[in-house]
Amino acid sequence: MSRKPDAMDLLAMARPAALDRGSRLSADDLLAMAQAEPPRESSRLRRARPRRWALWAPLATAAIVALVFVLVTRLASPPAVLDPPRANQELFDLADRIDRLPATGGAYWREVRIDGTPLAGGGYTLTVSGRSETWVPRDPADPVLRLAWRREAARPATAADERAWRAAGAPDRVKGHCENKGPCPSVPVADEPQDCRYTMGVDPTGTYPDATVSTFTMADLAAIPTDPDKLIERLRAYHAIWNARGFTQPFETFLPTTANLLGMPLSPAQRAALIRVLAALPTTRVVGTVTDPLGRRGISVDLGGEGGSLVYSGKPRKELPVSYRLILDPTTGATLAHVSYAARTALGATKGQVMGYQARGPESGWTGKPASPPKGCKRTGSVQ
Amino acid sequence: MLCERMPRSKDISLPNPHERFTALYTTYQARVYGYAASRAGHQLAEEVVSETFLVAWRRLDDIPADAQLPWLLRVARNILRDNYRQAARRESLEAELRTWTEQAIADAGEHAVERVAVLRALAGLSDADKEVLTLTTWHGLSAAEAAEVVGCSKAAFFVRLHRARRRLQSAIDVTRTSASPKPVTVPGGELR
Repeated sequence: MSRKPDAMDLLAMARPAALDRGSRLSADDLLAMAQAEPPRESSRLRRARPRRWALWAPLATAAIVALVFVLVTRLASPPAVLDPPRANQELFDLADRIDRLPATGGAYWREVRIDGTPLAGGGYTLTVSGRSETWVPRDPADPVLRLAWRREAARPATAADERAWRAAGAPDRVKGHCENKGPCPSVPVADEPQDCRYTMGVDPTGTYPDATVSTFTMADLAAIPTDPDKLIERLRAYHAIWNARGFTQPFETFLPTTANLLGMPLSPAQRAALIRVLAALPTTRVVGTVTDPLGRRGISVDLGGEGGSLVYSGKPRKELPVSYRLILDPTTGATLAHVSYAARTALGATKGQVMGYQARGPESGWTGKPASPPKGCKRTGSVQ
Repeated sequence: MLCERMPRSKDISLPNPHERFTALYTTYQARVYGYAASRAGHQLAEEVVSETFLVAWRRLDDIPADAQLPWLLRVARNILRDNYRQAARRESLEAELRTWTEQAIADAGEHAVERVAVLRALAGLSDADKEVLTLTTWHGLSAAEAAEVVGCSKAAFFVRLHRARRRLQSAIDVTRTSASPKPVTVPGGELR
């Protein structure tokens, strides 16, 4: 005759494995959210103080500052300069670090773009990523090379997702609705996008492909001033061009857009000058140090604005608000990635979850002439 | 068994607040998630984890080095109590318990029948009973740690645990004498 099993043993045995799933947010995601607020003083200390002190604290602080200021100005010679930390000090520090880095160069500016969107379901999330490249010649007489990979690749988003994907039989293709692109064809689970196609041809205008700030040639970009006043003057000229095209936003609203220049061929001194302009904007806020979608450490910057929203093709009347962040390379000041994060927990997404990104591949930057034809790539009439 | 020892202060005495926070998050986020999921289901668990660790960041210096997990779970418990309507939380947990039961039914593995019986029995208990039972069996807390989470003395917790255990045993007995579970198909979940 067997003994009746203990209720607690049975309960322990029935513990659902799903409890071990853990949050989909990484420590960096949480830290980025948490860093929006500095750690507070110990609440034990706060509770120990009478409340009246808290009310008088600002005045007392002001009085102490005034007293110190008077003492300093009267007694010290030469006068001491109080230099409190500025808002976005991390960006000013970054600008100081990169200001004197040597400028590099090459025959071509290579821009590698890797974008990703989440595809969730079946108990795990995959990141569907695509890749494209543009090789822009310094000399407009040389051909522009464009490459695009026609088949996207899906990879489990995290180690936990990989475990769940394996537990589900490790399907080699996934099909469903992309979060922000409507119905998607089935996507292979693979390390890299496949089926590379390229075009190569001379662009006699020598126009840089990113025209979000203004229309540039390589020579125009090289001539962007590093002097703060002259730089502002130049940015005003770009703004005037936009307004001539029918846009009516004020200069202050346009300025955050100029951050797109940080992904273009600028010298370190030019990037430093622009970063100082952006850091001084009242709408700019450093969120913190994060890991970008390609696993690189970067400075996450909120350039203000209202964020956006993700419209789900499968849920047409529902939208997920998202916040946009620019992630900068802490050693060069160049753009690492633009990332959108869920602004709240809804529609299967968790607040702070990456909902999409456009990253600059680590190969981006000045380089020599490309191989012609590029290895492993087929020529085509058009590359999107 | 889940009764692993919590890291002591020497493991987490990192000088940098960011490093301390990252270590805390890495060590305990899954435990906080598991607790929140067992109290309110997966739908709310993610948000509870975020909110709990935002509080942890703001009060980093207040977290006792030798009782970090109970502190975090108590914060999570307060968040669940203060931020969510009781009815919504209970509804979410009931849905989760139904899912777990269906998964146990679909699972032909060892002790599947017992697991189904105990999950059904648990679903029928009061919220307070569910909490004291799962804190010790599913979340690996000692009675002293669990008492700290629910905010009572160790002796009082033992009394509550004893009574909850008795009610669970009765509920299991009742569940076992009722109709045997039918196999069900668990939807695989369509990719969105």
